[in-house]
Amino acid sequence: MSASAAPVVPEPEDPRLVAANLVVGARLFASAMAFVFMSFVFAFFYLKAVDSNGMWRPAHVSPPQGYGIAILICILAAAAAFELARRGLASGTGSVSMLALALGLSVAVVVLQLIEYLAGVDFGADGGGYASVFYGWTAMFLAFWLGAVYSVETLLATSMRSAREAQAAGTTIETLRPSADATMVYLYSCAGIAVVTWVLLYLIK
Amino acid sequence: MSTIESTPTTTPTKAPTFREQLVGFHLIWGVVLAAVGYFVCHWLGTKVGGHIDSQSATDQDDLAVFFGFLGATLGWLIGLGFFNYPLSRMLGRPASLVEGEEYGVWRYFRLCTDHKVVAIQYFVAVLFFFGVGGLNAMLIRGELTSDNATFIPAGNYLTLVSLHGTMMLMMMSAGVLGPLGNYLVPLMIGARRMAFPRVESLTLWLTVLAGFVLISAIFLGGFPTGWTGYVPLSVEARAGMDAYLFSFALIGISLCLVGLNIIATVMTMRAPGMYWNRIPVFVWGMLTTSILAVLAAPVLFAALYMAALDRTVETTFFLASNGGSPFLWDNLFWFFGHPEVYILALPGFGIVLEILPVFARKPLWGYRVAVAGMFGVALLSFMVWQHHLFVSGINANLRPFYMFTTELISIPTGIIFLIGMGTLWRARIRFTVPMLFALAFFFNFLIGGLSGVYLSDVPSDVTTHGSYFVMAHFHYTIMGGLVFATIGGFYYWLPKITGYKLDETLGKIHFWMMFIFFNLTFFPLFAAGLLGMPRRVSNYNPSLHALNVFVSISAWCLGLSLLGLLANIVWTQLLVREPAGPNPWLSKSLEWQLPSPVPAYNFERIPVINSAPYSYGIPDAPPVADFGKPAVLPGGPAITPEGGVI
Repeated sequence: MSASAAPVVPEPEDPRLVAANLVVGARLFASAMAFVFMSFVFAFFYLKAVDSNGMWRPAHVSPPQGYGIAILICILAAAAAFELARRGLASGTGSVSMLALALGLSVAVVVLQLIEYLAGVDFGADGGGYASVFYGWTAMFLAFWLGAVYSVETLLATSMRSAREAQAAGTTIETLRPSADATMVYLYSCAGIAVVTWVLLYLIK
Repeated sequence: MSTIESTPTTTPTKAPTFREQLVGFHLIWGVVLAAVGYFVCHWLGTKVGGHIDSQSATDQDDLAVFFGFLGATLGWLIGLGFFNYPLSRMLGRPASLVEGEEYGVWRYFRLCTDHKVVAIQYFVAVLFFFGVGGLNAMLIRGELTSDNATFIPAGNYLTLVSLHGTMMLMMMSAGVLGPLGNYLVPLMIGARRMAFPRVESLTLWLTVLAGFVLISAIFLGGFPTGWTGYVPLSVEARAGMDAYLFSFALIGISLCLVGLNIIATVMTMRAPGMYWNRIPVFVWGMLTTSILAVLAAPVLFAALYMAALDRTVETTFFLASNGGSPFLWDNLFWFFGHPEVYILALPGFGIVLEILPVFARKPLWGYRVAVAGMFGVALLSFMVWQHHLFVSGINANLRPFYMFTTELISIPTGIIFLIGMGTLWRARIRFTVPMLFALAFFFNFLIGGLSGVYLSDVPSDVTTHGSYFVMAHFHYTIMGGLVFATIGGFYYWLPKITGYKLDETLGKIHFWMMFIFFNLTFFPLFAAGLLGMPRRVSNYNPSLHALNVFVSISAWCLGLSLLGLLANIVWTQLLVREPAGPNPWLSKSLEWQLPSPVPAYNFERIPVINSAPYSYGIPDAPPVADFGKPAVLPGGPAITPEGGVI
């Protein structure tokens, strides 16, 4: 049998693969993220238990409760708005306004956190074990949250562009759903971590 | 409906011109922008750091160094083109899974989404850094030919040992998952690509950057902590420590993402019929390793991040005088550190168990038990970390539990060992070079494993801790185990990767030199350890001088033997090329049913898997896969699903 001179055209890939990859990838990433924050949970309880030199949490070290609650509410609201947007995508009733709301709330979280660092917290990073955990944990969460902001923004941009193109071509925007599902997994995970953050860093004395 | 470009073809629509290639995003721009990014951000860091007391009070501005490294990373990734796609997605442009595959030879110097290209890039990078770590080892052995510090001052010797240990651990972590995992996992499960091709490429380029950042520690005063980075020494050390923290963090991110990618690939991209009980045992090795990487590397990353904060913005995670604790580092580091040992060992198990049936011409004995053993090792590896702290002053009541779990882990490890022996039982073995390396793996790992049992036992661990006994033990498991297995795998799979065989005679000379001199180097060090020779110190008792000279000569011969591998590669892959054919080892595994080298699209049609790939010597065994129609060799005959030629 002689070799064929014609270029090989492989059969196309099953489009469901991309959807499955995104959701599995998001779950795995959320697991890895959980282990990052488990390290901080461990550090919190370990240093609290050891209380080296009586410097776990000196009397003056107290986090600003208002900022903590505001940040938590924004995170939960962003996740809720995104969930509504995702359902809108699934039912085909539209999602742009809810995505925009989710993005706005996500950005608000970043802004609030930065204001808290600059104006809200009255102790430095050198204020003992708790202060170290507080700054380290919240800064790390902020970095991960920026990933959520990126995901939501990307979906909003894609959704707007796809809506325009779909209107022109008379097609649907079905391919957004896998990305939305994956982002939802990530946002839920962030929201869960945010709740733990609030309980440990703001609620427990 | 927008479509996602996901399938590479052999006919790119428009090949880039030379000018487009030159001004595009590739390694040259990556290096230039990394250098620019380092200096700009270092300057910025100096400005910011000047406002922090500890930074302004000393000449050492760790914040500026970290800013510099961050800037270098950003520049490196921008130059290589990693930000183009995310930015285009932020503008709402459509998704794509293919990039850089049309760039000919240039695709090896840029972001490329072909898993085979990335794997070859990994091979070259890991070999380079492995060479750097090896040269460090040669220098260390040179210094140890004298019982007093001679040509390397004590402080520099410590940096040398630290660089050697960290480089080897970092690169061996990436050494199998990166090259072999990325190349073989999609082929072995009947997939065309990895689940996340850009992430795959990102992990490679982060690993490359990590290697160079670690080397830069030399220019920043070195670091004295060894690969373990113990505090408070690491918090107080010179700026070279920043390079250690940053490079190890990059490797942690890379390792985690490699693992994530491999798990997602195996879970979602298996060909029809590739049930869990048909997955090649090598893929199981990659999968269990990846689980460890995804769960353990984030803890390492968090610990390094905390240490970096302690050095830059005055947090006190590890400073006991201000509410922290050095034990926090020990616990977090070893929670990663011990699974890391199995991140190194499990791929080795996978490789040798894949090689044994091919050259024993027998089915893999106890396939399911082998897989269970791998999962047993993976699970238990998270429960043993405190045996590294037996002499650190931990609560003595914790010792028996960790001694027990550590000894327990020898059971699944022993099971895997027995699976190998069972496969060899009454086999007609072909002693090819890959098989010799696989057999040597078992010999070396047996010695490494048995000496590990002594170290898990509290009384003997207390006696030998910090001595050359420990050093000999982990070199037997990591070098004698993983490195031998990896080189065996390299000899086994290189004909598939390049299409050309390595020379058997040169390979056997390499093997016997390496095997003999490896054992002559490290076995005497058990004795040196028991006689009280401490690790990481260049001075030792003069009575051990002759022993050390002998070991040093053996070590240099061991290094020389690795040059034999290099010579073999140059000779057979560049000078005298002998085509290997699609299936030179007569293997039944899926990757060997494809042409060599494998075409860009891997499979013209996704195959349907009929059986596990270990039915050697079974007369009525079904073909391993149905390819729909025979795969066509470029310029040659067609091959059947069984590897035969039509």
